[in-house]
Amino acid sequence: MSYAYLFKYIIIGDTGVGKSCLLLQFTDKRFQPVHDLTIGVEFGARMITIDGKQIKLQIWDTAGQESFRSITRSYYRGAAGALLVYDITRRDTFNHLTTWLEDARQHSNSNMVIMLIGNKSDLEARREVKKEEGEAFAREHGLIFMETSAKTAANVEEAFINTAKEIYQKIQDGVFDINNEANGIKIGPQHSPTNQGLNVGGSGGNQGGNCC
Amino acid sequence: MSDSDENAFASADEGEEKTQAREAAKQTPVKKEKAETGAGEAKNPKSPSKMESGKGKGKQQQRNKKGKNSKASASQEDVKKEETKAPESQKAEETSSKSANTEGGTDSGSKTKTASEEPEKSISPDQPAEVSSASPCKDKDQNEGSLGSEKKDVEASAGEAEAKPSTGSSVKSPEEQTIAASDRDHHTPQQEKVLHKLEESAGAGKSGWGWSSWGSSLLSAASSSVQTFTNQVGDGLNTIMDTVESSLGVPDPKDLAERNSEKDAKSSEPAEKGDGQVDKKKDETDLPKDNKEAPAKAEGQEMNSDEKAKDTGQPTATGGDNSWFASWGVGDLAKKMQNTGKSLAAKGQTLMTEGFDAVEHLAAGGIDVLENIGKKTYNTLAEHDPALRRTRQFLSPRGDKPTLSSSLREARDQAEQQQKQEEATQEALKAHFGTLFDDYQGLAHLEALEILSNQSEKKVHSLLNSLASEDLSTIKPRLMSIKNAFELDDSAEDAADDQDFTSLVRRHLSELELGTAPDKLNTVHQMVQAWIEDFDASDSNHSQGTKETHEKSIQALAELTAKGVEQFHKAGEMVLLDKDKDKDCTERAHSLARLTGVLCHEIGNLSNKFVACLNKLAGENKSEDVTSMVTNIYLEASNSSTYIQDAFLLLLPVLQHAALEQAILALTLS
Repeated sequence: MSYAYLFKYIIIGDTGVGKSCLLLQFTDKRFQPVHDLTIGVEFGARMITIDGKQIKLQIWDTAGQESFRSITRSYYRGAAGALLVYDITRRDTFNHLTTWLEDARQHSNSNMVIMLIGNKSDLEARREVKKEEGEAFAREHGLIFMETSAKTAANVEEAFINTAKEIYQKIQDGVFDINNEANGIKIGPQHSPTNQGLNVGGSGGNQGGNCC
Repeated sequence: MSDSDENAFASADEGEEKTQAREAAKQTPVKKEKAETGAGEAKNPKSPSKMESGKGKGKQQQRNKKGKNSKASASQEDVKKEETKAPESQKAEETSSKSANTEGGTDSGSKTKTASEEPEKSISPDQPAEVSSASPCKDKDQNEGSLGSEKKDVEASAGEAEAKPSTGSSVKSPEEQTIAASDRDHHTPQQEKVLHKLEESAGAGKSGWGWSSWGSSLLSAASSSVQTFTNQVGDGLNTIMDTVESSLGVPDPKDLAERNSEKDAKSSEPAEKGDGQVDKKKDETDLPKDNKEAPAKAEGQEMNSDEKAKDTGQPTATGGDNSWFASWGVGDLAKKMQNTGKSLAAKGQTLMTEGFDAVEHLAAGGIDVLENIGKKTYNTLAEHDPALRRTRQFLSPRGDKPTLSSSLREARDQAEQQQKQEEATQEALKAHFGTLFDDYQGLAHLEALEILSNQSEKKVHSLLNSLASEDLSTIKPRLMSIKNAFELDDSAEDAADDQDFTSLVRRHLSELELGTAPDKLNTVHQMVQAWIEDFDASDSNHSQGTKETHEKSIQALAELTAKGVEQFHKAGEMVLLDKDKDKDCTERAHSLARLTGVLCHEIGNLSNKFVACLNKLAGENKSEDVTSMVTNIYLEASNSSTYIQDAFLLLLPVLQHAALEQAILALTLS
């Protein structure tokens, strides 16, 4: 598939908050109640359209287990967007957000767009973290916030796409240097400058004289 | 005959042509010189020099094409012009003032000039001949625009010529004198007087040269294409305005002529041509008939009035109708004149509106196109250039900006090409190894593995630097043995041999003791095997064509490779996680090397099987040529092996890193 841009995302957060399920819902539109523990990192990709442009999201779904932290940290570098996920039914996952955020800020580029996601919003009865708390945390740290449910697919698309929109806007504003791949953005293969264009101009060159 | 021979012949032909052309070019200047000398003898600088400039156009163009002598002859002309001095410069002034009214231009000086011209003209009967000799040159050159129309004029006038030998006169300015000369032979002494005066106006007619040439070019342009017309519209409209303006103040020559014939028998000639006035095109073709008067007419009524004014001894006649009419004493004509003037004005207006319409049409259509192109250009630029930073940077410091038209064309062509390419690539992507490999996340795993590898390498360096020399000496052999394990031997086993892939992979992975299961790898492999078995089982009537089989084989190779790379990536991650465990990294390295061998072998084996399937299909329906597909499969199989080996080699720093940490841990414990 051809695309204008490729954005690299990382999904981070405590183990069991539903990172892999979010990815599966986004890429395959399905939900798997029982998911294997992620080893190191897994990948998913999907094409989205923003502003009429095809954008490929390359998503790195990292392992949440503490033991993998040293490895997964390596993968933060070169990500344009990050989904920082916690589980609204487990307060400890919310409490760890600060650590995750520090980690992410430290090991990635400063322009990385971070989306805070309170997952499992379908489990309203078991909610331990209020939506307002999540909003407040996001506001405090300059993140975008959303509550999602990988099970019902509520807000899952939006979470990924809004992040992409934010990145796209930053590109338009010139914040991201897209030619530096360390920013997690690549230009699609068909849009890279080609030499073919140079030859085209000469062939029709004789017609020009009539216009002026 | 060989190619080079042919070439030689061709070039010889060309050479011949060139020499001929050169000869022709040489000949013409000689002729011209004759004319010049003749003219010089007659002490009339006017006609020869003009002649030359008139002819010069055709000839010079010809010569320029051949790239010969043009400068020399030009300088000749210059010299001649200088010789002609004062009268010439006067004329030059007149010619340069083309569109300006010529009233003042033809003063007594020019009168005397023309008088002196007379005798010389009879000496130069070769001039018309020269003119006609010039026209073939134009033919050759296929001159366009005004020159082309001039040529047409020549032809047209040739048809009308009848008793008039001076058909060449339609080449305008230079020949006015010539015409006068030849005409003189046919006219009565009575008419001579008129001709005298007309000659004066012919002096004025030099400005008519420009006018008529403009007119002809406008007309040819208008009739041939609107596009060309627009080129002219800029000055053309102005000129139309001028024409309309002047025509408003000037009477219909036909009427004039009638009146003239009543009063003065000599003016009967203009009357004949009178009706040509309204139609400019007709004017043009009438030119030769009109003799001296014709160029004046071509210029529009303005000139006519000039002429007549001179007849009556009024130097400036273009002014208001009143003064002019008064001089003729035909005041009652005024109304008629005005009417004709109005009709002329109306015609002028129609011409103008037509012009405007054309421009509007062009503009309306053109703006849409421009808008589209502009949008596309911006998008194309903005795509890999947010906020157009680089473009601005690129454009601003440089003075040599590309022309608008060329960049627009470039943008359009590029867009077209892009579209075509996209369509083509969409189709090709189905069987494109790289894309499929990416789709199966092989690239992502490779990238992640690369990150791990680079980090480990850095770590290895920093750890080695931190170690004491005696520790280094104990650790180094271990690192070297790991490195040796990564030396892949190219002992290419016979890929045709089948191997128990699943059990081999499982065995080697278990040797690693990393807890990773080759589930994905085996699943893919089983799928591929099943497909091939299915294919072999159904001996005939294969549902798949060669194209599908090719796609399937590339896809299988890509998926298997991707899973293999993933396996190595996972192994690397686990090695880093398990670095505390007391597992010898050298052993792991050997296991990984064996795994690489098994994978590459399997890739080769599978590609052979796919090729066999393809050949089988090709054997069934003989029409299809599968050579390129077979080549492609083998190519991608080698690509696949390269990816796997690359992934394996990326593990070297990882294993060394793990070994080092183990060693350091052991050192600190002991």
